[in-house]
Amino acid sequence: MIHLLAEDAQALDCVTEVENARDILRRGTSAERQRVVFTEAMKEHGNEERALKQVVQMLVEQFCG
Amino acid sequence: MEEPTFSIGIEEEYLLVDAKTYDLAAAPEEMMTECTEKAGGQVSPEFLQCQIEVGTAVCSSIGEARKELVRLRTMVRDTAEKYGLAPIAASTHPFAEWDKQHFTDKQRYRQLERDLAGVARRMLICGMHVHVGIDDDDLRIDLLRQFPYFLPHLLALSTSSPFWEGRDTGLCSYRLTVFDNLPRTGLPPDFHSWREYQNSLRVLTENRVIEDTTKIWWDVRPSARFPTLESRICDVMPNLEDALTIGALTQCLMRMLYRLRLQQSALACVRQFPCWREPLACAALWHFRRIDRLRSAKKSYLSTNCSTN
Repeated sequence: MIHLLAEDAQALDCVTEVENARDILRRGTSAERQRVVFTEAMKEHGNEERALKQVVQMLVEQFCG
Repeated sequence: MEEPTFSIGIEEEYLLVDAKTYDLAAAPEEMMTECTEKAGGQVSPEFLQCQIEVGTAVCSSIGEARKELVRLRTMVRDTAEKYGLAPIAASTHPFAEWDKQHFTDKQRYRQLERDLAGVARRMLICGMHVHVGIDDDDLRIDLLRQFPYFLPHLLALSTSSPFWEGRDTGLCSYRLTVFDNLPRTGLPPDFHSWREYQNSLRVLTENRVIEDTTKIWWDVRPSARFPTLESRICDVMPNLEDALTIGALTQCLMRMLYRLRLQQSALACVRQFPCWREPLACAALWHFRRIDRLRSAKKSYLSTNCSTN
């Protein structure tokens, strides 16, 4: 799809933003990241409630980059 | 026909949490007032009191949209902080319970709650909507027919709602599963002209099924308020760069479909699409809300034949 849109990304001045789709594919979406944080927290302390709060903490930190 | 502007506008819905406990929290009226004073009509309450919505101005480029979103996100974060709150851009809260939330006391939301009852009360979800400016009415309908092929691609790149009420749902976008309980959601019907679309809407409004077209919630729809096509499929994303990527892809996809149309051409996968749009797109949308590794998706629908003919 990125290849298909190359001409349009040039015309609309958004090549960098379109190319970032490759990074999303490589590192995964937020859903995957949330699961990683949850799983790692569970391994560390085994407390589900605390692990879920750590997921929210990450989401708060990401809000403005 | 003049070339469309392909202007872009992005709307994002956020959840508010207590900055210390991370529990979901309602926005105090003073906070909403302060946000409105700072950003005017670009910020508004949403169906639930713990939600807040922002919308960029009409932007001529993704660069402009970036500046707008940075400004709006910063304003919401800074204002919320004064009230001991913090916003998150995720489509579900990992452990909040929907039946403990309160809806916003506005006429529109009171009516939604009355009309949709228990289905509406479960809508503890947030989305991201991308508007692309396409002035010509019939062109908007033509792109409405073609664009759904790419909805699964956009969803797959945006998922942010794996948890619901403290449990891992096994899905990446549980939001869509909750949202699809509403009527008038999912893929749009296959309209062949603006006139046909308008006639269909007239039937719905004259029979009092809906009062106006803001109560149509297809995954992509002609906006009721602007000359835009509005993609509504995506989860809202915590990472601003990812949100801008979705905005840029949406804008580029519309331009690409328009460009091929001018050449009296179309992608093979889109041209064939009307025959199998429902089963294929529904299956792909289900698949992409479920998968937990995007790489596996690349082998199937994401790489379907996209040669032109």
